[in-house]
Parts: sequence; C-alpha cells; structure tokens
Amino acid sequence: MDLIANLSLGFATALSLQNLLYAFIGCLLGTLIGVLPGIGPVATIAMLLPVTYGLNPTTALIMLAGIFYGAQYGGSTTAILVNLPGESSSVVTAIDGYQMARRGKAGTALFTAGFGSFFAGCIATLVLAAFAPQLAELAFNFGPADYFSLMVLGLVGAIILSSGSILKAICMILLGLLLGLAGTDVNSGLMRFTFGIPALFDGIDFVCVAMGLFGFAEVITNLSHKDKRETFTNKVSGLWPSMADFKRMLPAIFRGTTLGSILGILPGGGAVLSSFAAYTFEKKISAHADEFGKGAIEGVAGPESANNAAAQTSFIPLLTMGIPSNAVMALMVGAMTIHNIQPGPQVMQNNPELFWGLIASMWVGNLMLVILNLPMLGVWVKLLTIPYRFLYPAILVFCCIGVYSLNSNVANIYITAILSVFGYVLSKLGCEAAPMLLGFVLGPMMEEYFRRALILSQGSYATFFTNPISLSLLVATAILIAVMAFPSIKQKRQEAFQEE
Amino acid sequence: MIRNKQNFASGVFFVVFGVFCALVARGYSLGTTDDIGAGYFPFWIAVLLTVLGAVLCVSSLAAKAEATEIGRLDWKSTAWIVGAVVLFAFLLQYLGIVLSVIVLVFVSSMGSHEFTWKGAVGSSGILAALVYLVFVKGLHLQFPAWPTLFS
Amino acid sequence: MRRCSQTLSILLLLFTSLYFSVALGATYPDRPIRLVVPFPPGGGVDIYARLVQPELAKQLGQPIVIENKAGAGGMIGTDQVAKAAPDGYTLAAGNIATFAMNAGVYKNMPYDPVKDLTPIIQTVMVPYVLVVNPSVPARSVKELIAYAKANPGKLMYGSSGNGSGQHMAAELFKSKTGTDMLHVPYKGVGAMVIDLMAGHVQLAIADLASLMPHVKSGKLRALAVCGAARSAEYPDLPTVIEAANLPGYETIGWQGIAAPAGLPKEVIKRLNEAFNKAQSELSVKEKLISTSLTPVGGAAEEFARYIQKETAKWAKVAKDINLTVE
Repeated sequence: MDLIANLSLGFATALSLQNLLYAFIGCLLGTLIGVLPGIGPVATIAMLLPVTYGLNPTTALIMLAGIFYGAQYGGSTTAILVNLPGESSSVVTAIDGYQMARRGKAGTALFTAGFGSFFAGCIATLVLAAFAPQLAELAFNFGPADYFSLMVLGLVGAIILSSGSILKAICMILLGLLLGLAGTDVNSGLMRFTFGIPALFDGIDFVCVAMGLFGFAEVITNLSHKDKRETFTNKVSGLWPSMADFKRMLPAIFRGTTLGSILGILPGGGAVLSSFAAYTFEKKISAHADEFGKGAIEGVAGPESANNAAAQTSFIPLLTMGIPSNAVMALMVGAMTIHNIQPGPQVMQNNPELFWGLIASMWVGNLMLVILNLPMLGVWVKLLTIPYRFLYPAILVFCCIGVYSLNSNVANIYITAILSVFGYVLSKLGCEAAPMLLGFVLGPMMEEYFRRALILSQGSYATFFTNPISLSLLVATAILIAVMAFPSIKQKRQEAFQEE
Repeated sequence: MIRNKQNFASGVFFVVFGVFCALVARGYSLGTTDDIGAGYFPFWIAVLLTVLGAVLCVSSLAAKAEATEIGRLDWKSTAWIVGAVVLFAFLLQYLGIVLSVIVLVFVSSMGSHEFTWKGAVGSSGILAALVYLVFVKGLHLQFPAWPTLFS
Repeated sequence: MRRCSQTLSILLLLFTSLYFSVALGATYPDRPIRLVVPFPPGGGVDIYARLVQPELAKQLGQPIVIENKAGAGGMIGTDQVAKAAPDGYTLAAGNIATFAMNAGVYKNMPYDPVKDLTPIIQTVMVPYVLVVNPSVPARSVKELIAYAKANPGKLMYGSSGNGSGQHMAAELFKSKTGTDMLHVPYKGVGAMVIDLMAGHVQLAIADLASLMPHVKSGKLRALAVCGAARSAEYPDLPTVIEAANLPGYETIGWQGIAAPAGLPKEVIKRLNEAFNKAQSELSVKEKLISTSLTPVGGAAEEFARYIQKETAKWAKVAKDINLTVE
C-alpha cells in the first residue's frame, strides 16, 4: 500500500540522527516558550529562522514544527497551574484544569493534558498522512457564509462554557465581540473604538485580554482572601490518575481528537473553535455536567486533545496547497521558500522525503513531548507548594514581559492592567470570563466573514440559508438553542448554580 | 427592593457599555446591505447588549429572583497589583528590565498581608536574575536590560 | 548687531554639525544598529531584513538588531523611526506602502515619507501578477477586459486589504481599462488566495511569490505581469502594457531602507554601501531571488527620487479613484 511505503520513507527521514536531534531541540524550545505566558511560537520561530538557513530544508521544517506543537503543549501547563492561558486554544483548558489544580489534582490535570495531546497527535498525524489531499478540498467548500454560520454556532456553544446565568453569558460574549472589534477595520481601514490611541490601532491583543481577565484578576481575587493563609493548595494528591479518572478521560480524548482533526483543517478560525467545541460537547453529554467549571477531568481531556489534533491537521492546507492558516504557518512558508521549495501541491511529488518526513517527525515529536514532560510533572506540581506570596509576583513578572514582548510596546502592559481591574470587578458580579474571550477571538472574524459574504452575494441575506453547509450549521445552532432551553437541562443548570 | 444585586449591577454595566459603544458606532457608516459599513456590526451588537443588559436588570428585580449580594471589592489589593504593573511599564523604558523587575516584585509583594522585607528582597533578586538569564541572555528579547545611561 | 549674532549662530550651527558629521563618519558605527521592521514576522519586509542581517552585520562590524513593530499598515513602526535621532543607529525597513502609497491613501498620516525620512537604498522589487480563477472565460488580458465590460459589476477581485498595494494596483487597472469590478478586501494575502482558488472571488493582482505556485498547479490562471518588463522567472507571461496596449500601467511592489531625516551624508554613504554589498553577496542574492524578491540596490539619491515619483503617482491614483482611509 502507498500509505505504508510513504510512511516508512517518512520515518526513515525523521529517524535520522540529525532530524531526531533537531526535532528534540524544537520540542524543548517550544515547551519552554509555551510555558512562558505571552511568548508565542511566532516570535521564536521568526528569531530562529536565520539559524535554519544552514540546515537542510527538511531538518529546518522539522525543528520549526517542533516549536509550534511544543508551544501548544507547554501553553496548557501554565493554564492549568496558574490560570494563565497563553494562547486562545488553552483558554478552555484553564477553566477546569485550574480548578483541578486548586483541588490538589494538578498532577492528574497535567497528565491528562499530556496524554490527551499525545493520543490526539498520533491520530491526527495518521489522518494527515492518509487523507491530506482529500481533506484539503474541504477548505475550498467553505465560503464566507459558511464560516460565518460556523462562528455563530461556536458562539452559541460558548454559552455552555459558563456555569452561571445564560443571559449573563450571552452578555459577556457580546462584550467580548465589541472589545474584539476595536482597531482598524479590515474592509474600510477605519479606526474603530481607538480614540486616537496608537496602541489600539491594531486592536487589543488576545494575550493582553487573557492575561488581564484570567491571570491578573485571579491574582487580585486570591490576595483579597485575607482570612485564609495565602497558599495555593494545601494538599497535592497523587500525580497519576486513578482507574476511574482513566475511564472518564479516554472517551473524552477520543471525541476531542475527532472534533479537532476536522476543525483544524479550516484555515479561518477552525483551530480556535476546536477546543471550545470539544468542551461544549463534553459538558453537554457528560453524566457529570455539574462538575464542569469545578474541575471535571473531561473538561481538560476533550479540549486538550482537540487543540493538539487541530494543531496537526492545520498543516494540511500548508502542505497540500501552500496556504498558511495562521501566523506560524506563514513563517513556515517563509522557511520553505528560503530553502527553494515552493509550498504548494507539488511538494508532495517533488519533495516526498520532506512531506512524509515532516509528518513522521510530528509523531516522533509527540512522543518526545510526553517523555520530556512526564518527569517534569512532579517539578510543576512542586511549584504550587511555593507560598503564594512568592508565586504571584513571579506570575506578574512573566505576564508583564510576555505582554510587552508582543510588539515591544509598554502600552500593552497598561491595557492589561486596565483589563485586570475590569476582570476582577466582573468576577465579583458573577460574570465569567471564558465566554467573553471566545467572543473576543471570534468577533472580528465573524464580522469579516459576514461582510464578505454579503459583498459576494451582493447584499442578499439568503446566502446564509441557500448555502448547504451554512444552512446545516445554522440548523445545528437552532438545535443547540433548543437543547439549552429544554426544561430539564435548565433545571440542572440552576441546581448547579445554586450550589455555589 | 433589588433581590439579585449581582445581576442588577452587571446589567447596569452592560447597559452603560452597550449604550456607549452604540453611540460611538453611530459615528461610523452603517453602509448598505451589499456593502456593510464599519458601524453596522458594532452598532447592532451594542444595541443587543444594551437590550439584554436591561432585561438582566429587570429580571433581577423580580420577586422570585434569586437573592445575591456583591462581595466587597478589595481595592487595596487591586491597587497594589495594578499599581506595581503600571509602575513597571513606566519604568521599563528608563531603568531597563532588570531594575524594573525588582521594583515590580517589591511593590506587588507589598500587596500581600504576609509581606516580609527579607522575602521580598530574596524573591526580587532571584526573579531579576532569572529574567536576565532567560529573556535577555537566552531568548534575546528586544528590550533594554539596563538603564539607558549605562549603555 | 542682531544680524551679526544671527550669522554667528548659523555659522556655529554649521560648524558643530560639520564637526559632528565628521566625528560620526569616522567612528560610525560603534554600537549595535536597530533595524525596525514595521510588520509582523514572516512578511516580505521581515524576510528581507532577516536574510541580509548576518551579512550586513559583517559589513558594518556591528550587530544588527531586528525589531518587529507592527501596526496600522506599517505606519506605527515607521513613525517611530521618523521621530528617532538621525544618528544612523535607527533604521526602518519598509515597502511601497510605508514609504510612498500610504501618504496618498491615509488621511491622518503620522509622518511624511518624503520630508521625515532619509532614503538609504531601494533594496528589492516585488513583481505583481494578474491572475484569474480558471472559471473566468478569459485567456488573455484583452479577453478579461472584454468579459468585464460585458458583465459590469459581476467580477470580484480580492486584495490583501483596503488601501493595500494590491488594492491600488487593481483600482488603477480598473480606471485605465474603464471596467467595473467589485473589491473584496481580505486580511492578508493568504486568506484571499484560498477564496480565489475556490472561486469566491474571480481575480486578483498580487505578488508572484504568493500566486505562482497555484498557477503551476492549475488552480489559477496567470494572464500577465504588471511591471514594465517581463519577469526573468516567467518569460512567457506578457506584461499588461503589451498584452492590452495599456501604456503607463506599471505597478510593481518594492522595498527599501530609510533613516530619520537629517542623517549626515557620510553615514548615508556608509549604510548604502553596506546594504549594496550585503545583498549582492551571492548566498544572500540567491535566497532573495528564490523568495521572488528581485534585488535592486543603487545609490541613495536614486531611491530618494524614486520615492518622490512613486508618492506622487499613487497620491494621484488615490485621488482619481477617490480612495481615502481615515
């Protein structure tokens, strides 16, 4: 069979000593920068690009890819330990992961995230190897109207992220949408909601919002509990998940992987949606729905598998069509062209060892990440036993530096500071930040697709209903709303709310 | 009598924010359906937020609304944390990263009721060294390490 | 008396500036040089900067620190350089937009590219190509114009943003040919290319590097290049000028390096030489060409004249088509 021949070529390439070494360096670097909040893979890859000139192109790409998925992996660590989601994909992990950590189950949460990512990575790599060309066509079938409907579905799903009042969750999403719209309008070039402040011309960066609403606001909340001794958690139970944990974790990982693999292929926001979608899905079908938001293991397993699977399959548009689906992929295109490889459909024919070598190296890289991170579990968990009075200044330092390094601008730190007050007050009012963050991320994209769909349809709203993909997504949205409004579930939600 | 104080306050907040955004968005063109203007999307989102915020307010007044209280806001901790961060941002351009980190750690540590001088000196020293090694030496990030006068 | 002191102060000023320029020229550069890239990492300008960085550092004997200060179409970073000290230690990498086109498009431009900057060198050209989705029944520029005229307002073209080089190039094409096509702006060229291949938009004028791989794979059809001469890489493609008899239709992207206004002559010369040498180094040159950046080089004065010419040209286009961005 072709697939086996191709994969063996891939493994032969990926397992060469040099490629193994660089895959390892990439994963290690990626994990490190992923753990540092705000320092993203984009800046690191840009910095390392010149270093890769001297390498052969396959090796260079293997290393850069390692940084990318290593960072995905490392990002969930800080999300779980200290409620600092450095990337949009780890926002959801922070919800239940952080609660698990607070209940002394940080080790289990980290293990779940790691194991889920590994499993998802393996499966998604196989998907990538077997179906890349066919899947690539899927992206073509998605027009602007379809993307808009996908975003609507995503936002309605985001309501489920919250455990409190539905109405408040919707308001928070709308708030996020509005915040996300600040900055230069893509269509007209007009500066909206910028009030002449240059730092706002390109909008508020996601990292500022996440650090402000999650990280800083959490620090303030913790400090205000003066009655308690300021320790993070008093007991740290076993690192390893129990049999019962495994039983709950595995199906969630499987579902997350499936969702992530599919959504990751869509270049416009698919990968972002995957972890949110997985969380929503898990919460809806779980027998322990009331545990979500308080440390449900499925709430970590599902989204983490989904975002890692999406990270792998987001290579599909790049490798099969030469289209970058995000900033990291854009840098990979740069790296390929510098090495005289025109990214595009011909890569598979002209450079099979690069194509299959990269795919195989992802599998190897995922294995490395697990091996790298398992011994680290203990160290991370130990970190939490540091008295909080030493821990929180460190959190502030890393956040500030991460936020500053986004574009070497102190204005980002001021914005984060303002948002942290905002986030603290909102949390006092029982408004949850997670739905707002999703609104923030999706808002600008949603508007862009909405307007583009209407330009293309020359002003006809029918485009959202005549398009089969768009229509079915809207029908799914309607079903989701119906399910939410369904009395029995509503009752369950209220019970959960009253327990607090 | 307001029963659900949390919801009432957040409702008021959403209404104020919504009205403000709607007013600002009115200044941008709404456009036509075949070429939606820059104001269209933000305006209608803001209107929706205002309406839902108002609904939230009204429902919090209902007799069978669940009763909630708003916890006391701890302005002192907020001020220490936010103050330390703002000070850091301000000083960074003049003092460089190492000294600014020391200031940040020191000031923010004072926000804790378990503050000790010895602890703050120790942790600021360790963090400053760590930051220097990781970000300046290791990652070569683009910021001044030392006060500009020295370099 | 008054006149006397005035003369004196002018003389004094002249002397001090002369002194400083000599002093600067003699020791420059004696510390690291910041090269501000006003775009995020990974874009064309960023790639150029990172490609020449090592060789440039060798030429100048000092480290070159690349800083990405992205925002507002490159204007935030460029503005910072325009307002920095003219000592040769702060440089801006930029392109047709930051050094010329934006001035005609943006109402509130924070700097004047002609007055507030000292041009150092025009580094590379970025050739544009006109492509259509294969569903468009046009195999040449002439056929495309005829088709567009027969279906006014039906064809849609994509661009990497409102007021971008691609947008302006297409608008110029429209006004020269008297056709009516709808503009669909995207956030960057990547998203546009997907919709172009899927047929949601039917044509685009964009850089060779982003489009030609898809032309080769048959997902897109190239009609012509938009420069004054044919491309060395694709000699089979005619220029728009010859294919549709459109004299004066020349749109070509370019990049360059500039410093704050008032840079001493010696420093300009030193930097110009260093960049010229660095980018003509064989290994650098090959990499530039492989990323579809055609090295230009030349004297600083030439670049200054070119910027003036381009600024005027695009200001007129923007005015003709009534395009302003606030």
